[in-house]
Amino acid sequence: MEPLRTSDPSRLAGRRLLGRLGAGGMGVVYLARSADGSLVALKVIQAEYAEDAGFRERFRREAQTARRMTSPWVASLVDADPDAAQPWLATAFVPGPSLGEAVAAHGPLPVRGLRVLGTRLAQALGELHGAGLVHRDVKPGNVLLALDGPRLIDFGVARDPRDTALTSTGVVVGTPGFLPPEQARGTGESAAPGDIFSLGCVLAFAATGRPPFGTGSLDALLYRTVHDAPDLEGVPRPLAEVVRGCLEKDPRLRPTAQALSETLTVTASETPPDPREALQAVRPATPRDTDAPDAVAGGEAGQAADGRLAADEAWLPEPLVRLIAERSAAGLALPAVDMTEVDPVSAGTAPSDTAAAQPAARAVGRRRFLLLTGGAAVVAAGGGLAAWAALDGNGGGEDDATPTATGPVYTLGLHADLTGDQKAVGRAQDRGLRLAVHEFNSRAGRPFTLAVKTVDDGGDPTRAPKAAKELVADPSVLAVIGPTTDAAALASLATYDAASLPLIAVTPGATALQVMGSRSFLHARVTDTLLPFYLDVYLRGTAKSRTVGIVDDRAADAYAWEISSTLATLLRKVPLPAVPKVVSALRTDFGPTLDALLKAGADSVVFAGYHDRAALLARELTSRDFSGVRAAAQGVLDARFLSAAGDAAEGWVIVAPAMDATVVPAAKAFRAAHRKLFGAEPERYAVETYDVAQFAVKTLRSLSAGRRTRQTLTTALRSGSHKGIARNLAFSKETGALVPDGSGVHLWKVEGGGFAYQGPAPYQVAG
Amino acid sequence: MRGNAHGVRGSWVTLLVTGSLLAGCSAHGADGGSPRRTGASAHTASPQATAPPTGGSTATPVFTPDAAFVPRTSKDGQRLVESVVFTPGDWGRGFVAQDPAVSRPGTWPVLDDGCRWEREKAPRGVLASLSRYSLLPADGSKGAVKVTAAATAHSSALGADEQLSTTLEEALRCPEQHPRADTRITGLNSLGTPFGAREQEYADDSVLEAGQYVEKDGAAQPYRWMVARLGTVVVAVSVTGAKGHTEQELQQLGADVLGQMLVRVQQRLKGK
Repeated sequence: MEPLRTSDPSRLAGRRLLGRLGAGGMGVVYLARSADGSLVALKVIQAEYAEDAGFRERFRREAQTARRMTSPWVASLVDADPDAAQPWLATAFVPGPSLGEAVAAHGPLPVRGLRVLGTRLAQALGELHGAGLVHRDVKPGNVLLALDGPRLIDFGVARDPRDTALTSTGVVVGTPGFLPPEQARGTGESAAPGDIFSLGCVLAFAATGRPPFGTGSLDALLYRTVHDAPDLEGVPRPLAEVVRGCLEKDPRLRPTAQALSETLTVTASETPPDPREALQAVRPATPRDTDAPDAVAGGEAGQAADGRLAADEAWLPEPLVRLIAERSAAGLALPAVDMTEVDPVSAGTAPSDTAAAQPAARAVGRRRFLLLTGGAAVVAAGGGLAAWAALDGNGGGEDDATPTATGPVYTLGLHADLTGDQKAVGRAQDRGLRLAVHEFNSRAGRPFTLAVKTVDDGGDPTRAPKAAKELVADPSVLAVIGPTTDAAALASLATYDAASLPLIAVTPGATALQVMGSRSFLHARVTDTLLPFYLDVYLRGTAKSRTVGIVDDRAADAYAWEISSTLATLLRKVPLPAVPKVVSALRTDFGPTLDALLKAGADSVVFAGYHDRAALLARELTSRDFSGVRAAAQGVLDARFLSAAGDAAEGWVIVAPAMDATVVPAAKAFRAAHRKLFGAEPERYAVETYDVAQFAVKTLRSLSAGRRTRQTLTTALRSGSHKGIARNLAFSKETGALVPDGSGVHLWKVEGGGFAYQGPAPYQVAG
Repeated sequence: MRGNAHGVRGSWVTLLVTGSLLAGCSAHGADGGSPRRTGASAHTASPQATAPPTGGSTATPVFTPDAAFVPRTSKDGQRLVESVVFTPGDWGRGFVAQDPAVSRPGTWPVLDDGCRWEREKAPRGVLASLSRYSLLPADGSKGAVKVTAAATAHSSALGADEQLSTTLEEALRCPEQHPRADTRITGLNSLGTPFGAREQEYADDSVLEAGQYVEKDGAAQPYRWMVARLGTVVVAVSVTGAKGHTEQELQQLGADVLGQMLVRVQQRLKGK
């Protein structure tokens, strides 16, 4: 808690202010002592909101509703004045640390504690929802632990709906990682099912210590929330199913708060009784002064709890009970410290344990909230969120595991670069996979249900093994598509091999992948060494080149070398004169290289390297008015080549294992489905990934229920085949290498500042 | 990944030696089996060959030379290369000098348009270049092993790096080369591996060439040309096989000597 500032009043709303708990867009929250000695959180609304008549009206309505709530599991509304110059509301305090703090300090809660937590929070939400309120920010920091049960704080009265929604300006406020996908996408109104989703996240967090959609950058979190199956590894089994239900992407599939509380109350005898019932047992239930209902929910509940110590202590492990006690003591000490004038009323009525505030945790929670708010706005301004929001369109929800479905749930993993250099490809792959899974899950009578689990390695080979381990560790994952990049694939191959988890690479092209002896690898595209066959055919057949200049860029290491060395060998066999030049990675000027090529009479140039340095070469060629053919392989098929090379990119021809699914008739249905599900055109490598996903699904389906294991699936995949939209799939049983049949390699040409698809690349010179 | 390093390196040598990396079609049938190598000599970072990329670019250089010891003149360069390049005695027991034993000062090797090796006057930017030719004479059932150790001091790292680019270019240009009128190197395959890629952690850059060496009407023997760069200095070793010596044995010999020459470069440039 922060001390009061000189600008803060000493008294407000008939209460003495003790300190600041936090401040946000809506106003300031104070810790205050009421006349009866109880502590309250006093939220004072900023004048700018107060001037809004609509806001005051909504505030009044919600405050009236909230007053009627009697759930002991909600930090109840004590008092409110919507008509004050500065409208305010006061809510009760309870002892105990926040759930977030408790788990951080003492680890996950035991099963019994989880049940109590889940049941009580569901009851709390049930009451809120029943009254027409939505909390909108259920998270560990908003769940305080008391000896008799949890308390949900900061419920949705006087919270601007924009607080937790992704607004049209793309600002997320709230707590990513606990936000429901409809809010993360910014497409849905925050509603009761959103609270259930957040509660599912809270329960998973309490059970494992990890948020079910991980941690990390906001973008990644929101993305995973919208697209990934939750990580429920470690959630005790019966509870895991319940939590999974809460975490349905489709809000309509989630249970209501009441249904959830009923499901969780199967072991009702184990949960501490409602303090209201206990209260009635202890003393007559006399109607209280409505001005101070906090005493009912707070102090007397605490006494009731004291009356049943054994049962109540049992819901939390011993260290947490001690932590709560410590906090209570700290709270008791608090008013005395700040007391500069003796308030006979509060001094005389020593608070019960409930009155002892738990300000520290609350303050921390709020600060964290504010921090996230700020950070989110910055990220959103960077433009990331709009893209994520657009990502999902109207669909995507049902792709993931549907526990209500008959049959088991299997997971297809995607190991992708979603945030690194190749993130565009990674996202396209993610969509390709999700579309295939979505279509499968939409079928009635399917023998099983599929989920998607995506891990992001940022294209970084040092992160790739960890990403692989994450998928390997999830026993429901039976096959993995990816990784996106060569380096990540090479770095993670051994991890998948050790777990016999089939790994199907769609985009990496390194030949080395096939000679590392992996038993679970399938290479679903031709290697980079095959692309020069198509380049050769183009150079001789279409371009009629008589002397081919080959530029190997050492900055592109093995990728460049596979292409340049194979092409040199092929041309020698034709024979067709070739002038190979190898460019040092330390060199940024391609001038001397071009001088040598032109001097040797090259009338075409093939660049073996990546898009960034291709742009340097392109500009150099243009500056010399080179009129011959300029060609490259898929490393140049990147929008960044176009922007870096500008006009110099015009006319470049690229051979790549990527089809343009937006123009090919055979991909028409795929394109339509993609647009329907994601509201966007398929990007490069979406259809190739879709093909592979369909192949994996088909193969998995061909296995009888008892044989759906990683190992059996590897064998079945390697001996299976599939006629895809973009390419035919069949593999070497020994190495998992693709059996090349000429399909799957395509020509692109830069025309009018864009990559124009030219159709399948011929692998034989015509005529 | 690291635990698998030996097998991995072996696979890459296999890949290179069999030419699978270069022949697209045969790549699909490439043998995953690996000639497992015993560990390199303990005291040097031995460039055994290469392993698949683990990092690509890396921020940590092999070592940072003390600028005061980096040769700037031909005289400094000459002193460096003479102290680095292995003499027959350095190669081990039984090695003797070939005739000629040393390259002509002020020259360096150039592969001409006809794929013949010649020594030409070293260009500007090359401070000094030295090759020493040694030989392990035939002994009983074992044939003679011919080896070369070489070093070139450049005035810039770019110049040194381009020597490696040129080496790679030579194999693209001339998979068959003629070191002398009566000898041929055939079936050359090469692979450049910069620091950080494929677990290469011993030099700023490296090239491995593998092929066959055919002398007059003799049988083809394995041939290795190993090149490594540290800063502005390039060291290289060639090993030509002979009857009775296994390919692995020769590979190991070349790798060890290259590694030891690199250690010498480091010592000279650090002033130790």
